[in-house]
Parts: sequence; C-alpha cells; structure tokens
Amino acid sequence: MNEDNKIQDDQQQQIEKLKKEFENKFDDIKEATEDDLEEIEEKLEEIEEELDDIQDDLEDESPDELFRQFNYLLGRQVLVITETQQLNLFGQTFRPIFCGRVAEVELGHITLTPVTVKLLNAPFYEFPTPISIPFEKIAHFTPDFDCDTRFPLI
Amino acid sequence: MAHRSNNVNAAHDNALIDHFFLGIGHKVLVLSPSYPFVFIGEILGVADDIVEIFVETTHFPQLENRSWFIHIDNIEVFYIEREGAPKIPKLNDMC
Amino acid sequence: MLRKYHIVAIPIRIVVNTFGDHNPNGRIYVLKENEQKAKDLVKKNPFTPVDLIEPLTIRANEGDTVEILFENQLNFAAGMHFQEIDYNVLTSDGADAGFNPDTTVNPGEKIVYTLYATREGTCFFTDLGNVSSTEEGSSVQGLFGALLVQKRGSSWTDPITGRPLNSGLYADIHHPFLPSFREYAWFFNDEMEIKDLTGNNPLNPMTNQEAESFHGVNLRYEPATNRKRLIDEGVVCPDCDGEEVHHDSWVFGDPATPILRGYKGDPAIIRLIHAGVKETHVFHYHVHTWLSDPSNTQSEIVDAQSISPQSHYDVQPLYGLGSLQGAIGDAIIHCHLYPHFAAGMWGINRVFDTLQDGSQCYPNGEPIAALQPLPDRPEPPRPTLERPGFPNFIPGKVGLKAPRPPLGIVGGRDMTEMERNAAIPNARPGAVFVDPCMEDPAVVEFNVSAIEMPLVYNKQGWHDPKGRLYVFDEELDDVLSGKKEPEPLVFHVPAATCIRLNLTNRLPHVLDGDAFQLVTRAYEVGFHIHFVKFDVLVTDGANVGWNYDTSALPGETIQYEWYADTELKAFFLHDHLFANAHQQHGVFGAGVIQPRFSQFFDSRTGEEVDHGTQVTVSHPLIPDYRDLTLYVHDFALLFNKDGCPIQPPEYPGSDDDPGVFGVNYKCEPLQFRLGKDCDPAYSFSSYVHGDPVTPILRAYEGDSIRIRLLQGAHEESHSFNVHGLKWSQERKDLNSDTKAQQHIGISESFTFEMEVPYSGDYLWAFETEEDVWLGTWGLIRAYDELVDDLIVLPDRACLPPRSKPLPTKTGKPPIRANPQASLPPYAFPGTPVRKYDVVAFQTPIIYNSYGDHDPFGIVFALAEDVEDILSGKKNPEPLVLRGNVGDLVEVSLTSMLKKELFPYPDGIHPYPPVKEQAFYPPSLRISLHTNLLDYDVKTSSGETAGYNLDQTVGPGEVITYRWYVDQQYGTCAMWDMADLRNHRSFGTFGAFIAESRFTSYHDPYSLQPVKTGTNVVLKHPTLPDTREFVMIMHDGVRLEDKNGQLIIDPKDGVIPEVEELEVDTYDYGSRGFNYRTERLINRYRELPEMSKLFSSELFGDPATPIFEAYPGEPVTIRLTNPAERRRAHTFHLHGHAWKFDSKDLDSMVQSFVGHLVAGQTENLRLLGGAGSTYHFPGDYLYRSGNVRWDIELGMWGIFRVHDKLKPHLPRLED
Repeated sequence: MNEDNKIQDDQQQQIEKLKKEFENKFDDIKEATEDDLEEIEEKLEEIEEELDDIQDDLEDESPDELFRQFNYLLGRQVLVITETQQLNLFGQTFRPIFCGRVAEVELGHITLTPVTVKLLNAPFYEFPTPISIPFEKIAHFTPDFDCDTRFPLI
Repeated sequence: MAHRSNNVNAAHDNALIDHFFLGIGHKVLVLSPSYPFVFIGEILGVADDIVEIFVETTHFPQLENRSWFIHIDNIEVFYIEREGAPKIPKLNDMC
Repeated sequence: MLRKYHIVAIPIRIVVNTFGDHNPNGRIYVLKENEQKAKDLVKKNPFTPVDLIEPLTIRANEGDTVEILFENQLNFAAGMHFQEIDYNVLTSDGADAGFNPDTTVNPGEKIVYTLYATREGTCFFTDLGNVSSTEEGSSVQGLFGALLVQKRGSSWTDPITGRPLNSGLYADIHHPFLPSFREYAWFFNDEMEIKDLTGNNPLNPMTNQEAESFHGVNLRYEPATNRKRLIDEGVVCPDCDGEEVHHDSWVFGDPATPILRGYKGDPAIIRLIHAGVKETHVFHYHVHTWLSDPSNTQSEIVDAQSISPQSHYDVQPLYGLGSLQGAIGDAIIHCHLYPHFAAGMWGINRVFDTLQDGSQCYPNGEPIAALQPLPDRPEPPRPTLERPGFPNFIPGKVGLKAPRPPLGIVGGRDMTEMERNAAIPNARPGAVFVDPCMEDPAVVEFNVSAIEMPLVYNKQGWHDPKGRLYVFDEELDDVLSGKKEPEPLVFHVPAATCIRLNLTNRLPHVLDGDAFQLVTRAYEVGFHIHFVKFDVLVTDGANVGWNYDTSALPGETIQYEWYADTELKAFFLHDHLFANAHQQHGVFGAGVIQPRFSQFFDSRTGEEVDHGTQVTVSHPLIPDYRDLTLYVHDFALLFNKDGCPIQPPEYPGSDDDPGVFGVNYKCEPLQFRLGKDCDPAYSFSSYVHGDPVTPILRAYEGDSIRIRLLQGAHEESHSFNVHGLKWSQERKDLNSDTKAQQHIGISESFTFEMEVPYSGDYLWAFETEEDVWLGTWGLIRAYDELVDDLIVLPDRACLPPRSKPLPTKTGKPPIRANPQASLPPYAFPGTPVRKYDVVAFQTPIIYNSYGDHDPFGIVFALAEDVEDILSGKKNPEPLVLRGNVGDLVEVSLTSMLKKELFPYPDGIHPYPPVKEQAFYPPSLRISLHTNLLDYDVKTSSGETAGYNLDQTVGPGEVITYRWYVDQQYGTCAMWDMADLRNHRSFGTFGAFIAESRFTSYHDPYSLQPVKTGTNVVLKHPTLPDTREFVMIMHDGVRLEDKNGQLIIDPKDGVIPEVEELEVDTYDYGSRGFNYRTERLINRYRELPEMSKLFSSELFGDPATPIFEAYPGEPVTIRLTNPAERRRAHTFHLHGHAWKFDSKDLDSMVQSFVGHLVAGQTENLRLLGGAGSTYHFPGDYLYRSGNVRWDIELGMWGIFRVHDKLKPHLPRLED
C-alpha cells in the first residue's frame, strides 16, 4: 500500500514538474513569439511607410488616374477604342477597336499583347505585333472584357 | 479642374515623347489616320513633339526610303521593336 | 441670281450621222434664239448632221432661281419635268399629276417653270405629256436635255472660241477659287426611230436583216454596218475588214459621234445622262478611272458604270485627262454592251499634247478645230515639224488600217524618227510615248495565249464547241489535254507592280458559222484592259481613232505594259478587236490587284501561285483571306449533247438575245434538278442531286473572304445575290450601307469583303428568274472541320480534325432543319424575342379598279389576317415584317398551297416566259428568305441548298425561322425560295424592315400600334416621328383582265395599241408597286389624251399606293425589288432627293435609284422631309424611269403632301 502511494506521489510530482516546465516553456515561447510579432509588426509598419512614401512620390510625379487604372489592370483584358474614325493598313480600313491583355503601362501609353483588332471582315484578327496606344488617343475603354465576345461593329 | 487636366495631358504627352526618345535606333510601326496611313522604319531622332523616322515602308513605294518627320500627336497607335520582343514582320514587294 | 431661258419644243428632222441616217419625226428642245437657225440649217442639210440639233444643255449656278419660259410647238400637249432640282410641284412639275393643276401645255401655248437650283449637279429634263413608248412618244424621239448646275460663282466659255456660252454640250467652266475644267455632256439614248437615206429602216449588210435599233450618244450614232458598206464597196481598203476597224479614223475619218477634246492633264467632268427609254447601258471610258461617288473619297474606284433610263452620274477622271500616267491619244468611250457598241453607241476622248490653234490638220486633211487651253493651266507646247503632236507623228496611211505600234510586236518594227521624237527616253515594248510604271517598281511578266477549244458547261452535255479563252502558256498543254479544267483567266499581282504581258494569238483565224453566227474572219486579237495605267497609243488592245492597231495577228506575239499603282481591285480584260464575234465564247479574264506584300497560294495544295479563280492570300500585317472570282456571262452560244443549238436566234448574226448563260463557263439549269418527287423545293439540294458543277467557293468557318464579281459578256444586266452573308457597299468606307445584292453589267467589277461566321452552304445566285432557271447559281461552302484539300489560312488557328465524314448525295430530300437548335451568330441567350405567325396561301389579288387581277395570287400574311383576305374583306398587299436592332425574330411559317390553284396543270409555266421552258411543276412547299439579317444559314435562310437541311415547309408543316437584327439595315428584301421558277410571278415576296432599337410602329390614321403594314408611323424616344412607306417594285406578274383574259404585257399595255411587238423574254409580265398597277391603257380607253393620264381629277386616284404626309414631316421610303425579271428599272420621285448611301453623310444626293433588280434594297430619307427643301405641298409622282414599257404598264403612283389638315390623317406630333 505504501509503495503504491509513493509511486503515485512520485508520478504526481513528475506531472507537476512537467507542467511547470511546460508552463515556463510556454511562457518563454509566448514571450518570444510576442517579441517576434512585435518585430514583425514594426517591420510591417516600416514597409507601409515606405510604400506610402513611394505612392506619394508617384502621385507627386503623375497625378494620373488613367495611369493608376491601367496599372491596376495589368495582365487583364480590356477593350479600347481610340479617337480617329478609321485607320488604313495597306488598303484594309477598320475602326480603331482593340481588345487585348494589358502587358505594359508607362506614363504616356499602354501596350496590349496579345491584341485583337476588330476588322469588319475578320473580327477576331490577332495582330502580329503588340500594339502601343498613347493615353491621349484613347477615346474610351472597358476593363475585363472577354475578347472572344462577338458584337456588331457598325 | 482645368489646371489639373492640363497637367495630366501634358504629362502624358511628355511621357510619350520620352518613350520615343528612348526608342531612337529601334524599328517602329506607326498607324496614323492621315495619308499615307502607315510608316515602318527606324527612329532617327526626336525634337520637341516631332519624331524623325527613316521610312523603309509605307503605302506607296514612291514615298519610301526617305526621312519623314511625324507629329507625335498624330500617331494613333504604334509599336517599337525591342530585343526579346516580337518583331515587326518583314514586308517585301514580290516575295 | 435669276436666270431666264426661253425654250421651245419643236418637231424636226434629226440627222444622226454622215451616212444620212435620220429620225424624220424627231422632237427636241431648243433655245428660242436658235429655233429659226436650227430649222433653216436642217432644211439646207437634209442628210448631214447639224450641230444645233443636239440635246439642249443649259447651265446655272447653285443658288440661282431659273425661270424657264416653255413654248410648245409640237402637235400634242407637252411640258418639261426637271429632276434633282427644287420647285413648286403645283406650278412647275411639267405633268398633270393627281390633283395638281396641269403644268403641261397644249400645242401653241406657253408656261413658265420656276426652279430653285439648290445643289450642284445634273438636272435632267424630259417631257411627261406623252409617255407613249412607241414612236408617237416624246422622250423616245429626242425630247430631253439637261440643266447643269455649277458651283456658286462659276462662269463658262466655249472651248473653241473662248467666248461666253448660252447653251451647248461642251463648255469650259471657270471659278475664281477653283481650277477650271472641261465639262462634257454625254446623253445616251436608245430606241429612237431611225430611217436610212432611202427612208427605210436601215439594213445590216452582213445579215440582210433589219439593223439593230438606234443606240447613240448626243443624238448621233456611228454603226459598224454603214462603215462596213464602204469596205464592201471598195471605197476604203477592201482588205481591212474586221470588227474593230469600224472605230479606225485612218480608214474612215472621225465618227459623227462626240469627240471630247482636251489637253493632257486637264481637269474634266463628263455629265453622263441616260435619256433613253429602255435599256440599262454600261458607260466605259478607256484609260481613265473615277470615284463612283465624287463627293466621297472613300467610294469605289470604277471605270465602268451601269446606267438605267432617266438616271445620271458625274464622271470625274482621277488625275485629269490622261490619268496618272499622262497618256495622250484617243481614249474611246462607249456603251460596253456589245451589240450597242456595234450599233454605234461610242465616241472618243481625244487628249492632245500640243497646242491646237486651228492651224493644224488631221492626217486626212480635216482641220483640227482650235481648243482654248484652260486659263489657269500651262499652255501645251506648240507643234513643230519634228514634234507635231498627236496624231501627226503616227506613220499611218489615210484609207488604210492604222499601223501597228513600234517595238510592241515580237519581230516587229522599230520607231520612226518622228515617233522617236515623241517617245519617252526609255521607250520599250508596250510603253513608248508614256511611262506608266513610274520610278522603277517591281516587274512581273506573264505569257498568255488566246486559244479555241470546246468548253463543256454541264453534265447534260451543254457545250460550246468553239469556246475561246485566254490561258497561261505554261498551262496550255494541261488545258488542251483536259488535265486542267478550263476557267476564265484570273491572275493576281500585288499593288505597285509593273505588269508586262506577252500575248500570243493561237486562235484559228476563222470563226466558223453556225445557227448563231455568220462565218467571221477573226484574224486579230488583243488584250484590252481596265483600271490599270498604260500608254493608250500602244497598249490599248484596240483600234480606235488615230491610235495604233494594238493587236496580234495569227501566230504573232504582242507585248503590253501596265502599272497597277494601288490596290484597284479586280480589273476586267478582254479582246476588243472581235468582241462581238467571240467574247461570248469566253474571251475574258481578270487581273486582281491585291494589297502590297501579299503572297498567293493554291487553296488545295498550298503551292505558291500567281493565278486562279480561287486562291488563298496571305499577308504579314492584314488578315489572310480567300480570294474567289465569279464571272457571269450571257449570250452563251451553246449546243446540247445532240449538237442542237440552244436558244438560237431567228437568223445567224442576229443580236436578239441568242443563247443562254454561264458562270465561269459552267451552268446548272434547274430543269435538270427535279428529283423523283418532282419538287422544285429541292433543286438546290446536294443531298438530292449532288453538288452543282458551277463554282463552289470553299473556306473554313470564320475565314475572311473576298469575292470578285465580274461580267464577261455580253449584253444583259444580272443581279448577284448571296444568301446569309453581306458586305459594305463601298469597301473602303466604313460608313457605307450594307448590301447582299449587286446589279452588274458587262465589264463592271465589284469586290465584296466579308467574314463567314458559321459553317454551312451559302447559296450565291444571279437570281432573276431566267438566269437562275438556266443555272447561274452555286455555293460558298464553309467547313467546320478540316478537309484534306483545303489549306488553313496561315494566320488562323488550325481547325479540329474531321470527326465525321463529309455528307454525300443520297437521292432523297434531307430532314427538316431545326432553327431552334442554334442561335444566329450575333444573338446571345436572353435576347428579346419578337414572334410572327405567317401563312402562305393562294387568293385572288385585285391589281386595280378596272378589274386587272391575279386569280392565282400566292401571298404571305399573318395568320390572324388570313380569314379577312380569303373572305375578300382585305385586298392583300405584300407582307412587311419589322423588328428592332437587338430583336431575335422568330417567324413561324406554314404552307396552305394547293395544286389545283395553279393555272398550268401540265407543269410548264408558260407566261411570263423564260428561255428553255421545260417541265417543272410548281411546288406546294414554301419558305421565307430575307437578305441582310443575321442567321444561321444552315437553318434559317429559307432555301434547301447544298448539304444544308430542309428549310422549306409543305402543307400542314410548320418551321420557325430565327433571324437576329444585328444592325439597322432598314429595308431587307424577302422572298420564297421553295420555287423560284413558279411562285414569284404570283406574289411570293415581301419585305422585312430592320428598325433602330426602341422603335414602335403605328398605323398612320389611328396612330394605334401595328405589327405589319406598308405604311406606318415610326415612333422613338430620341428620334423624330417618321412616316415610313414601303414600296415593293415588282415585275413578271401574270394578270387577267376583268373578262378573265390573260393580259400579255407589254403588248397589251402599249399606247397607242400595236399589232406586233418585239419583246425579250425578260420584258414580259405585268408590273407595279405592292400588288397594284395603274395601267395607263385602261385610262386611255376612257379618255385618249396622253397628257391627262396621271390625273386624279379625271380618273380618280390610281390603284397603286397613295402615300400621304404633311409638309416638312420626316419621311423614309423603304424601296426594294424582290422579284423577278432581268430588266433593270429606275425609280424616281418627283421633287425630292436623298443621299445615295443612306448611312453616309458624305455621299452624293440623287432623286433616282438606278438599275433596280431582284434582291436590291434601298432606304431613301427624303431631304427636307415631305415637300423637300421648301416644303411645297402637292401631288408628287413616284414612278419608274423606263418609258419603255414601265410607265405605261402602271409602274407609278402618288406621294401626296397635304397643305391643310385632313380629318383622316393626324399630323406627326414632333
């Protein structure tokens, strides 16, 4: 009987000891994690500040909604129509209606590739090169347009 | 508002001019609503808002192989060839 | 400014050439001040042409008010009706129309017409007091002229004297701010009465029969027959026989017909006017090209123009006289319809390179009249002994045929000294006096031969034993041996190419005689070319005026040089030397000028090629496409498999419509495509009959295609229709109207550019009754999966490999198509749907109040209207359906046709007749086809064509078509495709009007919404309320009179009545508007006074529709001709005008619509609204411009503009 009690006591003590160790470790980890978190948070704050600075810089240089819009649309399909009535490529005339993926955005223009030119007799014609469009020539555009959509052209 | 939009237009125009300036020595394809409608050639230089292109190909052979001074405002769409990017197709008479 | 003219209509002898041919009963307009002089001159010169006897041509400026004091010295009431100009219809119409006061005057009386010259252009005038088509009539006998309105501030002088001019065909027009230019009036007229010197009808010395009727220019003609007599009599070179030699001035001197003179580079304009009564001519002007619509720089460039009666065009040669290359010499101008050309309908544009002050002479000693240089142009150099200028450096001999050109003939002669002085520095074969190929461009050389071989046209053995054609030398063996199927020569070159062509004449130099033709010694052949730039003196391929004879003798090779400066489309080429003899045997071809940098491939093998009627064109920067050429031709002189001639003329050598038709030397007549059940509904089906032998143009779904449409021979109009596809009327102009039909005359060239959105078989056809009956139809086949013998367009993704075998002939009709299983290409799920229930049934149609009726009418009607029509409560009118842009229109159609209600139980439709009548019993099936709308051709086009499923319905069956209105087309023609041969004469047609989105349609009297109707008010939230009048102009109708007698029009309608009348098959049949006709003979029998026949005061309103409006109200006329004869009509509305192209603000303004034939659609938005610019109220005639025979036969009606409010007609609110 005594021996059993002793064993029980020993076990109890061991459990208490492990518990304490565990709690201590837990506290240590918690402290360390909290420290890390704090550090991470601090780093995040720094990065945000930097971004804000960059953003401000950018805004200072080009207070340009169009630029920002297209940046946002990088990699997505847009339908863009430019100002002129028609263009003429070796006798093939067409309305300037372009549909394609925004591949590059710079301060004065965008570049679409691959890009479809909506010719009356070939409405899904993929142009052999990318097409760059000056901002000042854009009449209107609509984002996230499925370039396989069939719609009337005149 | 007007002041702001002037800034924006000017910024776009200037940026485009800069872009053509950086394209000096490169081949370009230009589409314009004005006759003769298409120019393909090498960008030689930029002065204010005029770009000088040595035009190898346009609609009529009589107007080729000479310098054209093109008003950047009149360029509707274009493509400047760069290394590693798609090439402007070769255009040969009687190929 | 106010301009006044005193004009008299006088009877006078009109001498039309120096052989004494004349019209003893001529009637013309002259200025009062010239009246006595003209009469005296004619008296003194009874057998030579008198200059003053010409169509009266007067001038004014834009903005002028022109007062015409008209005096009638004829023996019947007459007047002057002006087109293209504003006037008060109550005082100045020149007619007695409706309830208007009579503005014609009796003999001896006068009247003042006041005209407001609002716009620059040609204002044609003629008489409407006597519209008889016989020699009793006025217009037909020469009573016409024109008022030419110039730009504000213009003045004009005589080109010979330089002095101011009161009237005259030719004038130099000057302006302070604009270049001076030469203005030439060119009046075609036909069918005028003509007698020869002996007072008899002229005879043709070759056939000894009556010669072809008068076909001339400016009341002159120079027929080959007269000049032939001089050769036969030995007066001129007896060995210079030939067809083209009749234009040779070396032999005969200059013709009596117009010679339009100018200096190289002079700006010029030809005011082309059709003052004739019957035919649609084709105006062709060598060397030069012009914009078909001079106000629109993006319009088509043409060098041949079809022109129907009472219409006109301005021909302004690009780059001035001599064109871009600065050609000098004689450029012949002529009607390209061969029999007319031979009958004398030609003249010359003579371009001088040296100053003409009156001191020079032609080689035959005739003085060259002075020609004032235009004041703002450099004076041409004076002629010198070394450089005398054209034509005096040409080494010809008077009385003998023109010499052949220097350098051009292989083994031929070099230049003389004078020729060398006149030549360019680098003179070479084909380009001696002018360098057409500027600046060292790319050169392409072709070697071509002209050969004769039998051509087989179809599987039944119809063939031309004497087929003649052009072939590339390298293919000669293959073609002659049968290895390669002969087809018209079509070669392809990119723009900016200098083309050198070596032509060898391998034809037998005798064309044998047979039932069709007399023996002809066709010993020379050439290559006359359209559109491209060339030296006319040495490369025209003709023998004209003082030019060289640029042809090759048997065995000879001649060299030509041409420059294709820009993408000019397909240019026609043919022989000019014996065109009347052998062009209809196949001597025609084309060159297609493609975009620069194109490459061409055989569509089957992918091999690079430079010729072929079906090729694939690849380009680095613009989309690749299929290039497909179709050549229609008539006067195809064929024999059947037993060697019997098909449709031979009355005697060999007659030009009276011999032969049948072909497309690319093939035909597939419908009479041979009657299956076991003898149902015409399946004549186009390849399931039942196999594919036709006519061209099948092949592509893949989604391909771009360009169709080149040309006519190779010979004299007729044709109407090309494509089912399920459409194109821009002006290819380069994105603002132009969309079309699915084109009228074509010989030598015209059209390019249609389009995309083929869905797979299927698309029917193309020259769809007038006789044409399609005789086999002028075929298919455009678009595959959905790969086939072995058609390459993919290089810039398109490859198609899926074939998963199911291609369909083949089964001998049985296909199963019914299911339009509900697919959407039209542009429709999308959720599109609003508009439904119509339509029934086709037989019922009598009353055409007018005199009892003319069609007891066997077949009409389309809404199901809800059938009872009223059958009970007689409603007199049927053609069905007009409508839909707005964005609507998916579902039309359910059923047939109630009964066999016993057709008037010919033996299955042969006798009247109106066609050539080669044959058993072809009427179908009881019916269908509806519309053009222009968007639909899947495999289910909703209406025909059962190729391997498409059945789109027709029989009695008791229903089909529901699906049509999507993708654009605001306005008028779309609608007709039955189940039986083109039998149904259309009875009324199986109508129209579909494609309106703008958000439009509603209302009854004009109650303003209540309506579903259908030929007369509606359109209402729209953001557009003005508009009156819409649908005018369906149709012909080939079978009518009976009130006693049940068959009416054989035109004979039964001619006034005064005639015993006999020579009529071509395609002129038969009654005609009118919207199932109504007001035949004048009925009115004439009540009151025999020609000038009163349009009067409503005397006869009541006509049976044809009366369209009503108030002054200034917006009015749109929807005009179409859905059926059915090959005779082209002109439509004219008095006092109003509209834009030629309804979608294009830049297009020219006209008051007529030219050459209307089957399938044509037009939208006329009246400028200024009802009453035109000045809102004049009154009754305005709408009518055909064909005096012979449309107007008499009832093709006219009234557009009434009320001055006061009428209780039955509410005003439009806006």
